[in-house]
Amino acid sequence: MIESRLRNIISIFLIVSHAVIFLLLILMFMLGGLTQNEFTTSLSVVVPMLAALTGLAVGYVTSVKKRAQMAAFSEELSSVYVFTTFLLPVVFVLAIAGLVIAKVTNLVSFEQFKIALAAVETTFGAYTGKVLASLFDKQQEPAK
Amino acid sequence: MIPALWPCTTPVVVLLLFIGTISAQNQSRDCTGAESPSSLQNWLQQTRLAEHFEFQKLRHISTSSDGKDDPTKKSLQLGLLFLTNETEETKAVNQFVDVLNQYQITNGSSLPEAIFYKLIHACDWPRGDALVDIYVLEDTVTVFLDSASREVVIRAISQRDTVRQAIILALIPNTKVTGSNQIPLKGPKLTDPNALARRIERFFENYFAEGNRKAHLDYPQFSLEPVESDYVGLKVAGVKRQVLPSDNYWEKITVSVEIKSVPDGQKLVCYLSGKYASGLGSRLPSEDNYAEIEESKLRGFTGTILRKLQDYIAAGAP
Repeated sequence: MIESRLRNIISIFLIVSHAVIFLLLILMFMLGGLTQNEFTTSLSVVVPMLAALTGLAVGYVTSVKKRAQMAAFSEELSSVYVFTTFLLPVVFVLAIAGLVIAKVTNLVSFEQFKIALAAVETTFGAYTGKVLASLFDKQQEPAK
Repeated sequence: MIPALWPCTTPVVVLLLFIGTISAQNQSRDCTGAESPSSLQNWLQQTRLAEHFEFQKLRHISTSSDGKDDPTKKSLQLGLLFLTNETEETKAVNQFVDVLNQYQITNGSSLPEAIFYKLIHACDWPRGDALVDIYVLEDTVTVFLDSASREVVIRAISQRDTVRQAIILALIPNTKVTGSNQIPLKGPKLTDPNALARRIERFFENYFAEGNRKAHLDYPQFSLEPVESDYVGLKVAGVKRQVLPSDNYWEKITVSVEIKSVPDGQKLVCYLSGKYASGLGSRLPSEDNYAEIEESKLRGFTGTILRKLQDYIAAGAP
């Protein structure tokens, strides 16, 4: 897979995931799956976790405003890099969504939910950030 | 910039969450641990009783039997300090009596009984083994269940000059007051003294079970206290939209109903406590997820359910 294609897929995935997790929390609150205190605490923990990653994606998207920039020459990536770049954000986002579902269905208590979020953040957050930084944190070359 | 900050922010987030977890785990399930005192203190704040009473202690004490301490049997003692500017004992006691009577006039129920039932609900403790001590300067007013009359009574003891002697409080008789938590009983008096108590118990079971049936929820979890001729106590869990009809939260409700004799018959006096927790699906929340329901919401529900209970008994429903 070429680099620009991977960037596009991952950035769309992160932006959509961010919105979906945010809307999931609001929906669960409205349905009674979270109390007001739990909702505000969950938002204050989950949203910054995702915002750091989404920030990278949004930064990339704004830098490729024109089609020509998007279609700029890009190199083929190694399969292990592509695999890791897909795996970590997907697991990270699914783990957060899974924990929210586990909390609202009372599989875990709110305290356990917060501990588990911290564990997910520690396990995947830093690595995901590092991988995504390597993918996004470059100046886009001007279109030829 | 964000990736550069990441390794720094992560440990901070984890540490903050960890501290929160430790403090939560330290909350013991023991009644005298952190949870029950804070529940009682919150209730004092909510009902504005904290203006008059300060929480002092909540502890287990050995119960005396035949003049000897029985270490196997523990009673639960709540200690409250009556806040007064008076320095003279008699004036302080009079001020205390005024507060009790004012509460009874405003709320239509006895304050010592309200505190007593809040204690046994918050600690899930049998009412025969609980007592509330209220300290009015050097006097102590004790609220407890009298084993002979089976009524919650108040005993005031003066300890001035180390001579213990009973003092009489000029309280408004309970029977003269009718509040939102009490109703007179209509219909013929039942000959079996336990029949009324069983009927009240059945009403509550039917009421909550029917509510869950309509909401397509599982049958509620009931915990019933042994039937007494003048008292019904039960706890129900796994119900929704009873006290908080606009929120889809799990509710856990504790009900105490006293059957009192009054000059023109009998009346029911009801004390309710409630907790709520979030959750979807059929799995009930764990105990530490529950939070106290506001007193004002409980009062509204108490009045509503008592009127339905009155109709149920008057209709002679089985």
